[in-house]
Amino acid sequence: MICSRPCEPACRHGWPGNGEPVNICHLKRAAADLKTAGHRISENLYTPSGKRVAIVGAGPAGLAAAHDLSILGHVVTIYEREEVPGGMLYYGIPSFRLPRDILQVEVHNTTRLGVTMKTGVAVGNGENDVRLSALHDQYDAVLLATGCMRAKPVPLREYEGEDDPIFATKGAEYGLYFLMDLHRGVKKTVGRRVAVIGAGFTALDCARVARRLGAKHVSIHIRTTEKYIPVVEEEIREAKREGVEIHGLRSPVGLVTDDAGRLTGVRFAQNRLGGWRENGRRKAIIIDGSEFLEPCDTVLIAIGQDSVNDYLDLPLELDRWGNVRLAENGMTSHQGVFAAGDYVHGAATVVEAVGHGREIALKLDTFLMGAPRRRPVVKIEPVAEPLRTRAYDFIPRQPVPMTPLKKRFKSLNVQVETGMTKKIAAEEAKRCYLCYLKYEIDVDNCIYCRACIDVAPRDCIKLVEGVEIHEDGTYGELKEAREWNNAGAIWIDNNQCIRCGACYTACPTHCISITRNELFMQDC
Amino acid sequence: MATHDTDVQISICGSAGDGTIAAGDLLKQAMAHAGYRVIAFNTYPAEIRGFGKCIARTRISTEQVYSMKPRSDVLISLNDAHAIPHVGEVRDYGSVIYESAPITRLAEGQHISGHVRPGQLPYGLPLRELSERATGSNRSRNMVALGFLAGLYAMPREVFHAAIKAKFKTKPKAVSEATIAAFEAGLEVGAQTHRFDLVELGEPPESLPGNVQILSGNAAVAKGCIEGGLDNYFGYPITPATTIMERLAHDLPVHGKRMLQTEDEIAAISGAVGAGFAGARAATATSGPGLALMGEMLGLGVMAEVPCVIFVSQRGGPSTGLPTKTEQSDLNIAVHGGAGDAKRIVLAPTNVEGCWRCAGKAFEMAEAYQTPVIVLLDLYLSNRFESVNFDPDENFNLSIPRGKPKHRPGESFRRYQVTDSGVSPRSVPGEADGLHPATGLEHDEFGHPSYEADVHTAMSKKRHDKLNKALKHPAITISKRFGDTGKVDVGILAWGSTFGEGLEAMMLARKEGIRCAAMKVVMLSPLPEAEISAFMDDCDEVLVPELNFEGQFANLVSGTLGRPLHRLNEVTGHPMSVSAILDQVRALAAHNARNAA
Amino acid sequence: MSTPLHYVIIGNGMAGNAAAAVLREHDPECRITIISAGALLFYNRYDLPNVFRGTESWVDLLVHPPEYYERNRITVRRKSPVIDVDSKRQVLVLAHREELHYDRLLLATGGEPYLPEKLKDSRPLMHNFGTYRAAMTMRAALPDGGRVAMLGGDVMGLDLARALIETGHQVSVVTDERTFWPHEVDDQERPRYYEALERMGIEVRDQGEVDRIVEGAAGMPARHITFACGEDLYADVVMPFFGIAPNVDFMSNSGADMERGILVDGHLKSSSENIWAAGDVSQIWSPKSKSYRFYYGYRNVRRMGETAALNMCGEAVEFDTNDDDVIEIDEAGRIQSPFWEHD
Repeated sequence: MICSRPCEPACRHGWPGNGEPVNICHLKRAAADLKTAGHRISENLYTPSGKRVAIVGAGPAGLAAAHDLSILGHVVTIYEREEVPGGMLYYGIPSFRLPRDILQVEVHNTTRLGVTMKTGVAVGNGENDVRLSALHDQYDAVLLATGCMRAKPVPLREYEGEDDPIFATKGAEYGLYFLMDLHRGVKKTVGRRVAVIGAGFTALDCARVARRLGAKHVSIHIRTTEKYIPVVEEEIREAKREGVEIHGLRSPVGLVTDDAGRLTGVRFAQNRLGGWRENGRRKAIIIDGSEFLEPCDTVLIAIGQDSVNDYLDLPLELDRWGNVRLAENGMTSHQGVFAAGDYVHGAATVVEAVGHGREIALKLDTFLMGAPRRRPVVKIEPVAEPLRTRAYDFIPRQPVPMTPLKKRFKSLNVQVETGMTKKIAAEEAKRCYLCYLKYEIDVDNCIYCRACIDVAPRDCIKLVEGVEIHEDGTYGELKEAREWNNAGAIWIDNNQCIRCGACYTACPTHCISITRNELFMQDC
Repeated sequence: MATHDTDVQISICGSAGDGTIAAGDLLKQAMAHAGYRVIAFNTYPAEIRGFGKCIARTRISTEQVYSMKPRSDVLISLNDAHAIPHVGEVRDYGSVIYESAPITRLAEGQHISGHVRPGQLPYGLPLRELSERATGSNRSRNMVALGFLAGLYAMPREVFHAAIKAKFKTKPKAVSEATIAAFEAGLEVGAQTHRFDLVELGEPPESLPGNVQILSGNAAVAKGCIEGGLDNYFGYPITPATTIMERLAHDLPVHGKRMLQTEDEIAAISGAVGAGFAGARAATATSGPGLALMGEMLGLGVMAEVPCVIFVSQRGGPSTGLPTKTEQSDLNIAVHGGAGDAKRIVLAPTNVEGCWRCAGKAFEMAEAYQTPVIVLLDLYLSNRFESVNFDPDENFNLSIPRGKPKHRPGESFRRYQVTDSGVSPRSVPGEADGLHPATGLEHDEFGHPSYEADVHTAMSKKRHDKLNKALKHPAITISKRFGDTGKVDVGILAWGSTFGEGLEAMMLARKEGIRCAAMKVVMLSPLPEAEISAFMDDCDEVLVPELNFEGQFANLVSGTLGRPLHRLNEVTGHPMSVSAILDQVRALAAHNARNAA
Repeated sequence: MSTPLHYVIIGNGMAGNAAAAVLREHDPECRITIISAGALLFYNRYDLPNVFRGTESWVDLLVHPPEYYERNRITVRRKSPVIDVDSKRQVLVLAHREELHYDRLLLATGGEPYLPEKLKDSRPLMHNFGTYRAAMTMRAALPDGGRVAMLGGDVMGLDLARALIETGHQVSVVTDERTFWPHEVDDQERPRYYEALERMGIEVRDQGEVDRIVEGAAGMPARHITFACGEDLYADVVMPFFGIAPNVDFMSNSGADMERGILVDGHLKSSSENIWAAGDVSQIWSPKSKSYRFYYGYRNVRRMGETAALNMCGEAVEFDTNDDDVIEIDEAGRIQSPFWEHD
């Protein structure tokens, strides 16, 4: 699964002492995989609004926005420069991670709502391009979702030439363009020893593709250390299993070629770790005089991706990183022009792009209709019983079936993760604590018998002297009582509660209540 | 399991409510039925509710042993806060077993693993989680720990299963099944744990003939009462004697006998004396404070020569004292208490089997010598469990002849006839020609009150002389010598439960080359002077260890015999340690050697 | 009167114990706590091959008796894996949720046997040797005169191989780029070194990549290795000897820089305040090779522990990074490695 699953580190079942998080990513996939053959997605549609929206870019942000805008009753047209929609999903991510037929279905689920998909049509300032200003005139709103499809150049301090050393050297290529070409159908080859420089998903993907294209020895070189690679653990593990080595604390300083101009190696300098960056990553400092040669015949550079602004013919305010600046209402500095995804935030992850696309779609709708039409609300309702048993907490995180190593390299299309079976998914689903349940003790009916504390599986029920209450009515810190005499109440600490239901069952006065608390979008 | 000698002591420590004592019970039952010799003792908190410290200690051996060891081989902690102070109790290369996954954060020093000594081996396992997985609740942590112990030391699981089923046989089947599930969960982990400690649990000895039971001192007393023909029991609860009454409350009606809980100790002793006067075998049980209350009616029993039995289990005193701690400080009132020259028989068994025997024999002696008999136990002995091999052919005499009155025509019954032995013929109310007054006033042979000088002198002599026959009462050992025969450097003279430690100290001293012997004195009143004297003749030095402050037994012996002796007195509330006695023995032997040189 | 400093050492091996001894000598009043994930007091791992020369009980392997720790007031907490280090509060968290405060912390957690990813699936069929328990388990699995297949063949494996051959067993080394680790033997020299191994009685299988490892069929030795080239090797026990990978997972929040191990300067100090590292876990800056390097073997590890301890007490002692421990072939034609020397 390609998602970077930021939900899993937040999952309560993965908190310290509780074990591993629920495999939310694969459960969602299983829900999609295991639906019956005739399954129809039913979505409630709004009345047609008569408004027309143009979206530039059919990547995850653009597709997600198109889907939501269609539901809201607007007529959407997507302009996509490449021949196939999907953006990074098609051109950046290899098919052994995201099968093409699945992607096709997902795109279809959007276009079937009436979205017009114009592929092979570029928006820009070239001769055959569609002008952005024209779109702005013809449509009621425009959404820019062009992503970050330009590879970041790598500074090589030993290179003396004027032009880009990667373009100028046979055997060197930018990873992003390598993958894009591969997915456009261009026949790509790699040598025997491949060095990939970079630490993100693209670098990992390049390395794994290189192995499948027949490279005997593939290594990834990063400036800091493995700990700081912003890629999910499962991907790194599978890459290693497929034979990819990871080497840390080195920066590339030059390329070495033979007389024929073919690459024979990359010169690196050793790094030390420096201070911290904002995003939790580390700075790397080159150690002078520490240069060494890493022999290789192919080098793929994947150190980052930037957005492109040369297609604009309208003035848009940019921030200091060159990304378009958005106001509170989601609009750029130009009336009626919106933006979403990597194009706004810089190269990030698919799920962030999808999320941002949906968020901006709603704001765009507010702009079109003059007032917000949907808002988030919390629904609270009582629940009669715990809805799960403690025994479920001991189920270990289920391993996801994978294609055996030997079979993976037959072609680029052999999917590595084959997904959960129904049985595995059902077991994994039991592991969810159902955190939307809230357990609360009614202090007036509690007789302080401590039966709940006796059966508590965590340090989740405490004797408290009192609870801090904020001005808005929310609960704050618990003031725990050391002595029996000082106890004002027995209190469930919601930060520790795993919703096992043991206290509810043990309470002799039935003073513990359970409520379900859900967040959902409601029409205004 | 290897086949060498086993001597392993397992200590389980937890908070009240953790099932510490229950786990200890199952362990000793299982081990006794596996064929080992077992001796066990529990420590309880004094409070009824609350989270006080409980410790269940069980010593398992192939050879007969006589005391608890000061150092255990294994410590199981069910509550670290309580168990941490006891880590030092475990010997080098012994094991400490504990919860490896507590649910709260702990400050430094709050987990027992940080207190395990360098020479000890730690074994942690997630007791709580295993209990939850096996039974759905964390209440069975004690059983998980017990199972782990059994798995780690390859103990046979069947005896544990049998003990669990026996314990819960009156409950629904689900209870014993869940308990066994928790036990098995722990056993599985234990069996797969690599053992680094050097504790060796060998095969049990060949099975002994007869009827092996594991029971406490108090349970043995109750057994002796039933087998000794107890008809009526009158009692008032007091720690540590209460369980005697509880058992008899169950057992007496089953045998068609009666039990009455009275409003206080005075009523209890009054009932016993009254029932004894009426011809029944009667008893009561109490502790020091109760015996103090019984003084006056005890005196009546002595003066009116009425048989009855009083079991006294000593605890820390004086006054309310230390109700859950052991002591041996009621010898004085047992032997001397009450007004006047009220001598009576006092027996002090030294082990659980002795509790049974002294109980049964007490009824014989009470009737044979027409006197109250006090059987003196202590909290340690009352609550100590031992595996005992009862001889099914050993029975108590249920009918002691009361003597035929020599009846002169026209005369009333001479209830208090002065005879050679001092024992007079005895009638019970309702018997023809047996009518006589019985009074606490001094009286003549007919029982009529008399204050004459010669009457009081003769009666006093009679009441004292008759008791000397008790020294020869059949089928009970009233004193016995162990160890080296002939001349010895040091002799240990002990009574009650302390004799066990004394005996072990003697055996260790002999291994070190000290000529040593030990003597137990079971009959404290009348005192077997000849035997004690002969013993002291053989000893260069005599040591009297006892759990009271001044040396009550030492005073009794030296007061009666007028001979010097050394005292070892402790009032810690705990049984005396073998090493304390051994240290003294060594010191006396060394001192002796220096003087001889 | 100031409170005595609390020195905490994570790791109960040669480095940690050498450090503890120096700390106690230097500061008689301080508190010293050694934290170990294992159950036993310090024993010399380098002596483990002696289980084939008559050593039965772990008690015989102990370097110090229990009284040594009582006498020197060194607390050895066993079965206490560390799961987190908070270097700001100077607190470490043990697996059983106890928190300890330290004034000075030494990381001496050593390493685990490294296993290449592609062999991880076969791990259940392999035996290790680096702990007493692993050694005894392996010994029990090896029949008299049985054959051990050593994958890789690092210096620790080769040391064990000597003991095995001495006691009548058979050894095959399945070569790999990590054979002779941590020494680097380049491709030209290799044939000569393989011959030296053969002279020692070791069968050298230089046959390329291992394809599969499975249980042997009934009646055959317990393990069956097939090579990608089609050749076979039967053995009773298969053991990985690909060198060591440091144990550093629990340090991820500590703020101490790591690459594969803990990165330290010449004084063995990490980038984090009050944290030092010594032994197989430490990667020391070597000005000579301009990189962070590991130093292995009894002598180095011991020296590192002592050096780190001295520096923790306020001294400024450099760890000499100039020695390059080389593997050699002696006059008798046998392999000799300085890593095999120990007291």
